[in-house]
Amino acid sequence: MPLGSCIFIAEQMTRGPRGKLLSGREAVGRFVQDGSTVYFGGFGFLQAFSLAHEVIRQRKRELTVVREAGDILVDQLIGAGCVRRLVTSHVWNPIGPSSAYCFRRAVEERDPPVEVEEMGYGSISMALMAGAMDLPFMPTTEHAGTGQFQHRSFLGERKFQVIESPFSGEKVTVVAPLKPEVGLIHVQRADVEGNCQVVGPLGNLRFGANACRTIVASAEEIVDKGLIQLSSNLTIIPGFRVSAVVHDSLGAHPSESFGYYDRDIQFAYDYSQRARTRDGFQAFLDEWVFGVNDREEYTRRLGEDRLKKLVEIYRYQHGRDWPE
Amino acid sequence: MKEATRFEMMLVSGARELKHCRRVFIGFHWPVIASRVARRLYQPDMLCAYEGGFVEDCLTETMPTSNNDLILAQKATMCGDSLDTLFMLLRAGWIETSMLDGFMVDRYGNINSSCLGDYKKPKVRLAGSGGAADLAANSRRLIILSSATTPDRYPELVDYITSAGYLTGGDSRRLAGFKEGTGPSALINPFGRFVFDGETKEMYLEAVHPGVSVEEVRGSVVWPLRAADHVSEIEPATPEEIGIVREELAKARNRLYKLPD
Repeated sequence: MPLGSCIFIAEQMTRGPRGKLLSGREAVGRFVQDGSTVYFGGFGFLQAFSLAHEVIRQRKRELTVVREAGDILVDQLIGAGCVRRLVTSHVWNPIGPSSAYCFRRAVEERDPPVEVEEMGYGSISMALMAGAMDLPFMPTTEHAGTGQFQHRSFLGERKFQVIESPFSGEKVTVVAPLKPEVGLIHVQRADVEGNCQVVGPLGNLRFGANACRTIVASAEEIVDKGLIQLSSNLTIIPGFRVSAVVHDSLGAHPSESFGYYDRDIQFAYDYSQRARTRDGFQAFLDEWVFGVNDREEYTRRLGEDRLKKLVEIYRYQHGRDWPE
Repeated sequence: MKEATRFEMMLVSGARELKHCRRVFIGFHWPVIASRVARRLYQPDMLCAYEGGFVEDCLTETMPTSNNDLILAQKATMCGDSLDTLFMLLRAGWIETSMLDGFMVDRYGNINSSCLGDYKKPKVRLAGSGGAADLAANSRRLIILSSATTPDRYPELVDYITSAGYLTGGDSRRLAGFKEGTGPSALINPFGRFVFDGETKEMYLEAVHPGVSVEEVRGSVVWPLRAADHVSEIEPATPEEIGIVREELAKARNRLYKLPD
């Protein structure tokens, strides 16, 4: 879709009090197609789990997934058979740490086969920055001699190159831009026009999301535009770039959402125990993905006691005490 | 108090490496624990930067499960983009020391955290780089911490270089275009401390932890390991150091870290 028509659609949808608000089901159904190149936001924290689960529920197939750091979100997408190609810097479970078992089965036993293209985290971040800014490439961390440089999968020559600096003559490693078609991200708050705000560390979310042609954002809270205007330095994407906003509180669980809830380490630990076997993984999906309709049901299943523990440290929910 | 195990000694030595450091970059896994021990013992206001994009300068009560656990950012003094910490602070040279976990380390300090066996058909697929390749490329003084003690984890040359050390030794890192003055400075493992020859860039044994023999260390690596003319013995851990390391390990266990027996 040409850039202009994306913006046009996004602007059309702003009208009316509900603006760009859609359910996760509607948003993923409308914007993610089989075969799409999809960026999933979050680096350890603020991972777009609720939207990823919606992708699994809708049985999207043949996706090229772009993600700076795989984590168990990518593990689940792979295990559920949604992924054909993956660009990432690592895939594992940081709790323990423990293996990402679906990823391991995919690479070790080709079950299912997934083509993996690896870069360092800094270089994927630079590639997305180049994509967001429409630059031809970005200088990055040196990789010559490393496995990431030598082993090339589907990106081939359009990954790293070493060029001579036109200024000093020194060798410069450059990385090609990445421009995913759709970005599925989670933020702490957004308004109905799609202005998205994040508090706390960003990882590479700002560049990752802005590199995408179409952006779907889930948010802990939907707030008035006035609140956004009072703290506009926290906005990471201007509303006109966002096509749909989904209200999913706890959308990043089991990863953390700074200021809202802590990471659920027991949940992530239990996940890896179950994902060791295909049957165990399937049982996990049946319980936590196919067994619920949306994030609200998922949250109810987590239960109040569990949630209470996770939000002990939270500070910002419901607009209280947000920095202005 | 029971004397320190070799694994505990690795953390003590790791923490001692951070003595007098004002600004450090902390990678995943054991460096997180070593940095906490360093803060409690020597350097309470040491500034730590992380690949998630934040900077903080005080110990948290809760043990973070990783360098990306935002428990660490509760009292951060700056939260920004990952590019801010990886490039604007680390690459630009404002960080004195970085500490990185080394799953498998070879003769020239290259780290493999990607796969066991052939990359295309691995026996075991490991996590991959994350920010490790960036730390290894961009750090001025890089300390590698490894809890590994067996030859399968210290090959002559790793199957896959996830994080560049001195590549094939000698001038090869510089010729590949890496920045001058970067590259690993030392490896700390349960046996002791290893450094790199100025010319050949080969790793050699500089000092051992109390009770460790040079022969034993030689048996733990695949290549014929060189040792310094005089291999010194590292000072034993003080009761205070042992106490603090054990307190931190107890916290780590509560936060579901897998610890060696």
